[in-house]
Amino acid sequence: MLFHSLDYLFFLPLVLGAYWLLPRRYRGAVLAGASLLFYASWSPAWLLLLLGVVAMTWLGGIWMERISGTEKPGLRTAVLFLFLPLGIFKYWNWVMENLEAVFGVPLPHTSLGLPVGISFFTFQAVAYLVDVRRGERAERDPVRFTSFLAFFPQLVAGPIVRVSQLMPQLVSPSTLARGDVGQGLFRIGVGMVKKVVFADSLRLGVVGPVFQEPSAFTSPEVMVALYAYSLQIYFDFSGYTDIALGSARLFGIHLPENFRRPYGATSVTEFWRRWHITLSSWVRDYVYFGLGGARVDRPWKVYRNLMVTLLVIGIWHGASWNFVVYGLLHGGAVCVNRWRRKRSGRLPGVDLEGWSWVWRVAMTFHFIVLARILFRAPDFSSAGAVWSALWGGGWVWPRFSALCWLLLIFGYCTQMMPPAMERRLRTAFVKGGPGMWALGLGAVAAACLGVGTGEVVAFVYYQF
Amino acid sequence: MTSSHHQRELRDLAVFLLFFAALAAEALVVPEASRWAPWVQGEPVPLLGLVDEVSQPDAPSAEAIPWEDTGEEERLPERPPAVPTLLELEGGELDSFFQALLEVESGAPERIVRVLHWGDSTIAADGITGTVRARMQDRFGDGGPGFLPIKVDPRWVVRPGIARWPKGDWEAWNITEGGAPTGRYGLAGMVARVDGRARVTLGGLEVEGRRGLTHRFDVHYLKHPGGGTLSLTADKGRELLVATNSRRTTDGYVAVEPPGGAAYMRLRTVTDGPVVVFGVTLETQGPGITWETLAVAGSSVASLRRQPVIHLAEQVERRDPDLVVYQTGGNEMLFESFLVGDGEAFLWEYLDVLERLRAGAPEAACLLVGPVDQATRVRGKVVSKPMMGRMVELQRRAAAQAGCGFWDAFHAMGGEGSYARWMAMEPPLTWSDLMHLSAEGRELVGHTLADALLDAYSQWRLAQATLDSDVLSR
Repeated sequence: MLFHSLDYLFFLPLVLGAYWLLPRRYRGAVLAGASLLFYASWSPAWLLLLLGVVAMTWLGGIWMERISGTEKPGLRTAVLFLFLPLGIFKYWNWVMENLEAVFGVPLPHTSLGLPVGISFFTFQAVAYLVDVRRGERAERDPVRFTSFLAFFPQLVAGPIVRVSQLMPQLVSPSTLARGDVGQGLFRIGVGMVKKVVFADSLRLGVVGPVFQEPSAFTSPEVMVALYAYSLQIYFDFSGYTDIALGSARLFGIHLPENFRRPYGATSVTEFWRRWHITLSSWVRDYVYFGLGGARVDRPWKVYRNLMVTLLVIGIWHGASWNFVVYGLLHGGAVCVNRWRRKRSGRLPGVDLEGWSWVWRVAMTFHFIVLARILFRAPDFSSAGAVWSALWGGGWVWPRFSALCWLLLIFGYCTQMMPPAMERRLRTAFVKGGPGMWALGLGAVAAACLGVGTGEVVAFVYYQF
Repeated sequence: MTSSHHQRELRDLAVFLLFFAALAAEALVVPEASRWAPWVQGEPVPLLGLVDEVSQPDAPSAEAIPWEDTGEEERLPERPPAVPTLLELEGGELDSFFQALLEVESGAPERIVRVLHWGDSTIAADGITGTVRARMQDRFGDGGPGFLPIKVDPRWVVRPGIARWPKGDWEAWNITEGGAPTGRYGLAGMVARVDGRARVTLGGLEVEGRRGLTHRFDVHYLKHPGGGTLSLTADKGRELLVATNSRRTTDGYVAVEPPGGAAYMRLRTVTDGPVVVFGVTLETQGPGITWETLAVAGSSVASLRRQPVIHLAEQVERRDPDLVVYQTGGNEMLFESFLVGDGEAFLWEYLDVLERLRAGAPEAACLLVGPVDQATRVRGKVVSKPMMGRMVELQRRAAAQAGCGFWDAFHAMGGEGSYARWMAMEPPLTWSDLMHLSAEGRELVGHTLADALLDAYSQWRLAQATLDSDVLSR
């Protein structure tokens, strides 16, 4: 069940109705049941997997709490068990293919598909166990715990939430604060426009054809397609996140933000603080700090830790050498950022101004855009074809539809829009009341039907 | 305070849901607003699919359209999802072409069968023509690349493997966009002009690192007042200077036939005035066949009629083709002449274009190829454009009236709904723009067309053999 499908348009109000109309003691069960039903809409078989991960994490949490404060080992075993399904479903075939290539012997493969959202809920489960081992309270109520790990707005593509962020909101009596409904509906509307109007139209009109057959396009067209892809993936993923946050808000639940104008970053390090923030912070907290972070005895070890951290981010996205190289590229860029900063003595987070800012933003942005060739292309040879077309495809002015140009230009303009303007727009919507909300979301629906492709296409990050 | 906020928010949420439901209901009930209806009859009932997947109607997707096999195409190979499709020949339309093929197959020295294939972007990408060319040359021998415009739009006009390396400030125009100063666009509908230092190097197909030899280069250019001089050099041979200055504006031609053939020919300007070049023909010594891609993206019957009649006829006459092939239709779907009435006006335009193309080669055989499927989205579902059938029918009628053979590419793709079906293949056989075939799709259509051509030739040979034996037995 995709957020921008008719199913969800009916599902969400029904769950909201049940949640708010039933006595408070049933709300946890409503959320847990709705979340499991939501996940089962993809495949009932995958539901069994999700239930297995929920059960394993719940029991693991109780065990971690018991051994908390002792020297008893156990966390690694539990984490290994949690990673097992992810390893089998996502990485097994890739590892086998590579081993086959090295040793030249046939090895067993699986024909299992990749369960939607497995990387997200596995990482959330692992974070839960580690946090409990570090002193957080384990949840005893299995129903509430199911709501925590399988909360449907963020189940399949994040944000990856920590126990301290979500569990208190599930434990305390849930109420709607002033503005929650308006804010939630605003986020849902914005998310729908981002996904259906912008992301899907750019995918169909620009990105898809160019990546399908790059040799049929000129260098400027390939470049425009790369810009379009960066916008598409941002609007796709942040659109999903907006709908997730908006939906959660209607239950009185506040989820953490996942994006903060990522294309305005002045370095690759900063980019990862603005893009998929909950994954970046997960990897920072549990991988980078786990390796010692910057508090190590030798400077080179910091760079090693950074490379490993970004490599994990790369491989998290998928089982392919493309993502390995993608992670290493970003790791290299983060290392260069750090080395240059150390050499110049500039403190992290110090704001740049004027042309210096423009130059750094442009450089970072183009690094992100070009590295995404590896992200979008299915393999090295396809990525190579896009790269070749980028440099050797002739220099004729790009010929895309007027709508695509409009979406591309307007899309990037929204990145430059002052935050105050966005706030004013949101406030005006929230103050408008139910009639205004209905008209606003009606206009969004009309825009989706009028400008969008009409096709209900899965979010890009569902495949991860 | 918190509780009152909570109550107010809940009330607002309920009111919003009511308003929103009313808006959706209005779109469902009021016919004028039906475009915005969230659901229409026949689409999957929301949420029902979660509990009853079986009884749901098909979701908007690219489902397969079953094809009814008539059994007529049994002798053609199966290439799913393409459908074996025979050439439609009333009687003898391609006989002269088949006779030429027979001559080549019999090893007639230096005989080259020339096929000129005009079309739109579907053809300009050279996937269909490239595949047919490879198949035909594999059987009948390589006659060379044929006619090549010298400066092309690299996005659409593709000829993999050949050498076409323009340098300098060549300006180019094509029949789709128009604007050529002299109004002449040459055989391929593309013309290049330069006033200053420029050159272009042309060469045949490169196979396994070796460039094929060309035995005849034929330059099509424009003679005009104030025209500059062209320098032509085949490999390291003698330089030939060609003055394009002339009192009258006319088409000019000059052939270079290097003894023993040459890998490359360099065409260079001498910078004593502007030169205009339509293209260069590259041919081997034969015997063999050429299958020449003469297509411009976006072209249609309207753009082809932009060519001056006599100019086009002269260009065609110079090539002396054995077969002319014409394949457009995708860009004409919104033409008023096509949409109005029974399409007679469009049929007239189409026949006029065929007449223009054949004026320079009245003896040549003629083949019309129908358009490949194009699609549109109806509430997310990819469906064939509603006018596809009408376009194919009109072109079939045009072929019959003009005495041309016909090959139904829409049928070969599987007819109604085939675009969606081809789009759902892995790798996709169409682009997501709902207009174009992917490289794999073009290759598949090319093979299907080549199957039909070779089959028709075999049938013709069979008929000839029967005829000969009848004559002998008398």
